Amino acid sequence: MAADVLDTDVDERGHPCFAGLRMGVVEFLELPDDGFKYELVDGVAVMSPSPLPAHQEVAVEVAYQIKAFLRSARVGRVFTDIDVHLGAESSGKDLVYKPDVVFVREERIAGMAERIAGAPDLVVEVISRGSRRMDTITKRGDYERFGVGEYWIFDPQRSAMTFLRLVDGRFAEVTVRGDEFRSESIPAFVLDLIPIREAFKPW
Amino acid sequence: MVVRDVEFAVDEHGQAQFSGMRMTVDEFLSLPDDGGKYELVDGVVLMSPWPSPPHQKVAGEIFAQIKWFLRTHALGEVFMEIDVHLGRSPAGGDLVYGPDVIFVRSERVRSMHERIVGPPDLVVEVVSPGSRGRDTITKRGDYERFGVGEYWIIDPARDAMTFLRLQGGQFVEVNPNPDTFASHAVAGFVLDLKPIRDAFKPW
Repeated sequence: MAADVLDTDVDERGHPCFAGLRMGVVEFLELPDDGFKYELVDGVAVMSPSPLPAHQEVAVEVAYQIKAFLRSARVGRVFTDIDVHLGAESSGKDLVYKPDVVFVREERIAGMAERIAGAPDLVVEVISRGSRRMDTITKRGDYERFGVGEYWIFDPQRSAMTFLRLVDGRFAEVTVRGDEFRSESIPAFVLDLIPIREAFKPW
Repeated sequence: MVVRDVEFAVDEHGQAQFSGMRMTVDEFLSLPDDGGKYELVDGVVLMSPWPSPPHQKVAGEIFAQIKWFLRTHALGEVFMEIDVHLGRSPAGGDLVYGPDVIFVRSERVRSMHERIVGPPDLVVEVVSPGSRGRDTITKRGDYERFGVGEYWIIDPARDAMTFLRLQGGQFVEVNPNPDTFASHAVAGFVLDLKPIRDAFKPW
């Protein structure tokens, strides 16, 4: 089916070609790049709106802080905008999300040959236009169910941050006081919230 | 209920706020109008691009011809851009499409109180850039499976029209005459192809 889609649609540049098509994870990850961001929700390809610059500024700041920390403490890897194959529903339909930032511990990354499969130790989503419900309801539930260790949700429009940690299979909100957040998913890492709040502000 | 717990205010940027969420048909059909065009594919909300003016020109021409015919032949009702709840897909999850034009015979419309449930007697999709894979593969398969009597696929970009008719549970392509197509789904109606071809042309 992916081949048919490719034949018929890839010549039409400038338009999203794959939204609404049903496919398995292998087909999904082999789709040609038509310039749009897709995720696979229960076996259905869904197009996500492209992030705004203000959104990217927050995501980059978070990824940068983690990356800088990992230079001296090589406990894992950080990625931005990468396909994460969380797994399949009980019905067999696949779930592939493309979080803004993910972190995977070193011992687990070794077992992932070509793609991120299973739950990352940390997922970060920055809420952008139209993604609030998806990020705070659908993805929150899925990340919890598949066992993501920590889920950080940044909401620039509301100047809000939510830090969730998996405790006995359920996400519990971690209250943050002051200007830092101490991660457990990335042992010993402390997120500096001041530059993130700076990035929340409009230009 | 997926969406009851969250605020219903239209999102700050007014777009795509439900895309990717899982819903039942009842939840889906009670969503507030946020200006986006949505369909429900296997229980996953999908935002579709609104049709462009050239696309609407073609769909409007077909609608008008059928509407005009029905003034003197009260066989049923023709609709544009209406939610059609086809049913539940084999993969599980409800399927609601918003075809460009549909026709439903009178005796069936009477039993549908508030929404179109089940296969229309006729479905027309006008192919947009990017929708060819959906219209010719995914939707073709779904309309066939759920028992749509005729499915017309009109492709302005390729100057092509495909007329499919359900025979023994399978779509069979019916070749039109040079300038007309005689429908069975709308009994006695003959589609005049010339004004449709005229509508294919750029302004």
